[in-house]
Amino acid sequence: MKHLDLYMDGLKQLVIQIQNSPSQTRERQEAIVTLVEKILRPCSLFRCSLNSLDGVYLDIYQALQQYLYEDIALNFDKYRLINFPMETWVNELRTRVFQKVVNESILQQLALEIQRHQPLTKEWQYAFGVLTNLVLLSDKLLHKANIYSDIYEEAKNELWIWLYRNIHTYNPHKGKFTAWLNFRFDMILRQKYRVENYDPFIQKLNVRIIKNKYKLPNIIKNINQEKLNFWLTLEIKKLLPCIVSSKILLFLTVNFLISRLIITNPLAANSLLYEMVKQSLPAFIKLNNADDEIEKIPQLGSENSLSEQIREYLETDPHQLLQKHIRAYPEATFQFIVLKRLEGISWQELSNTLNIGIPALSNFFQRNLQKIAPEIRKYIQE
Amino acid sequence: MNEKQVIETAIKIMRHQIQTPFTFSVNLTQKSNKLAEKFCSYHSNLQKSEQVYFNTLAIYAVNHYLQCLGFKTNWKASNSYDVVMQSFIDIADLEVINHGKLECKVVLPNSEFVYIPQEVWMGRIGYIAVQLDEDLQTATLLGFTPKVATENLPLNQLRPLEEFPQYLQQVTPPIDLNEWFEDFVQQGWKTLESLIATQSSGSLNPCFKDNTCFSGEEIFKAVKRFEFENQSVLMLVALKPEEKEQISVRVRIYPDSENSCLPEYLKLAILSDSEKILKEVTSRRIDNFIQLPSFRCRSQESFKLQLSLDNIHFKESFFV
Repeated sequence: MKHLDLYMDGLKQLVIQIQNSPSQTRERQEAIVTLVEKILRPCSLFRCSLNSLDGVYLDIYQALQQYLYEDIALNFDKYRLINFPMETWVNELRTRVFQKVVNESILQQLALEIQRHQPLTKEWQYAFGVLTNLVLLSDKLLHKANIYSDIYEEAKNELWIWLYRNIHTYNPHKGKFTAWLNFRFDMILRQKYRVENYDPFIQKLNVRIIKNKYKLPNIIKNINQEKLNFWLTLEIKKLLPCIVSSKILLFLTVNFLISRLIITNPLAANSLLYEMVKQSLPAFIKLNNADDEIEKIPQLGSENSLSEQIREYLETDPHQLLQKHIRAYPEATFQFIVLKRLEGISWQELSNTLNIGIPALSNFFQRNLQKIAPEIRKYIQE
Repeated sequence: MNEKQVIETAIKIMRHQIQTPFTFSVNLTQKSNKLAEKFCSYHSNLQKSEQVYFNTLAIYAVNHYLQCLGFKTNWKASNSYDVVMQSFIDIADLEVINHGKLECKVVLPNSEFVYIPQEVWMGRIGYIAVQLDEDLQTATLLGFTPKVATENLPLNQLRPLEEFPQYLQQVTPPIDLNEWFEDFVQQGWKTLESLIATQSSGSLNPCFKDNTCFSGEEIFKAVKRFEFENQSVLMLVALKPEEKEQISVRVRIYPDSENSCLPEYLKLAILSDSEKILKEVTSRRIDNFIQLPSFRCRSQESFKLQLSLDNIHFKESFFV
């Protein structure tokens, strides 16, 4: 089971425990304290390997803990947890508490804490981690209408780089930390909005395949057999008429087999997954993007493909640059190695043939290719 | 539960959390995706395409992290930015200016290992493990290792990320001695022949003028100048190939220019990976050169030299 599921299950059990224990009892209070602890734990806030936690961190932690405790203790019976997914409830609760607790004074204290430390020390990195996390968890950054989320995320990354480099210029006497940070954020956002002539994101076919394949093993792994059986018995009656003609049953069987295959033979599963994803992409995507694809990857499959041109250069060695060899191995010339690699010979096989270690082979190869690559590029462009 | 108990619990919790490692998360923005997409469009083989895609995302994340810390990088000059190089090697290197090449390796979700192919075992100053989340929205830097000896490194053997900035600060780009045998010396170094040819004879150490004082069997000699406050000195590294891909190395320090003697108490040392002094020589007032006993170095081995005078230290790392 996934880490997150385990975590959520743990939370759920605590919630049930609280529901079942009468208010004002010690048992209930202890369950709430444990719940508070569990909710705060994954905020990656107090992750560090420093020996002691004190000062501003302790203050923040205690404040968070107290608010969270109060919120749960006071409002617990009002929560309608039954109709509410656990994850949403926890996230909302967490955001609410962070917004309440993380105030200007805390952020300012943290900024000053960073300034106290020598850059790049553990303490400095740690304080930065807490500060940026708090800003995000308490949702302090400026929001703007009409900003695409891509641009917004991009701007956030830029803001962090700027913050790391300019934190020493923050002066609490001149203004609030959030205002100081958002002033810069606004500038970055405006600039991005102007510069990036936004063009709706059209995902390329290859990328789509790669991304889907990346996610597929997880989806498959998460379909456990128990759920599958349950689902089958429940749904099969309704679906029976169309199952024969549809692919649903086939899909489920394949899923089950693949989940086995992933464990027993990852390599075979890998190529199978590619095929599945390719097949599962709706045909219209292929058609819609066909022109675009061809335009963007002109060499694909054609005689003039990039690898063909490179091969031509490497076979003919027009500038006599490929004859350098590995020290003490005159037969291991760059040309020999590169042509073998083009034939699809693996580094391991090549290493066995020449009796030279892969690291030494590859190091020689990288150095020489780096020097020759500009020549190859020139040759291809001609 | 009273306030005191709450605080006690809080401290208990924090003790527990102290054991969770420090990591660094990076948003994988559209820009990073576009670049990854552009690169993988050059490779018609899906497996290669996939490899390039994830490598690019990992490098993007490390690059962002280093920018936050104020290190200058040059991704465009790195091999991983070259589609030809990508097609031959599973490469994810990132050049950190003045420090050397880092390899940024992807860790798949739920994996307990980071895969570091032998193709990238040499010429790197370190490896950073980057975990991508299931939606490819966030990359998390988990930790690093300065060296590898296995292709599948368990994640629990990584060094904590919080130690990385200070590690990187003290690293210099390692000198690849294999290149010397291919008639290429790195920036800052000069072959002895070219030094003798270009230096006007007046400012050259008399030792170098008649080649006899270090006539050995070494076939390759190169020098680098180190400037101390009052005097500069020359480090001479002489190499000789031995059987079984080994080379023998001799290191000497000479006074630069016409000074016939070295400054007193100049120290030349060979260091271990953990920077411990393995062997050291110190100059006396009358020394016109100092040297370390010649030593042998096998393929894939590295060594580190340190030159110090008073409180000024220079370090140089080499590998074969």
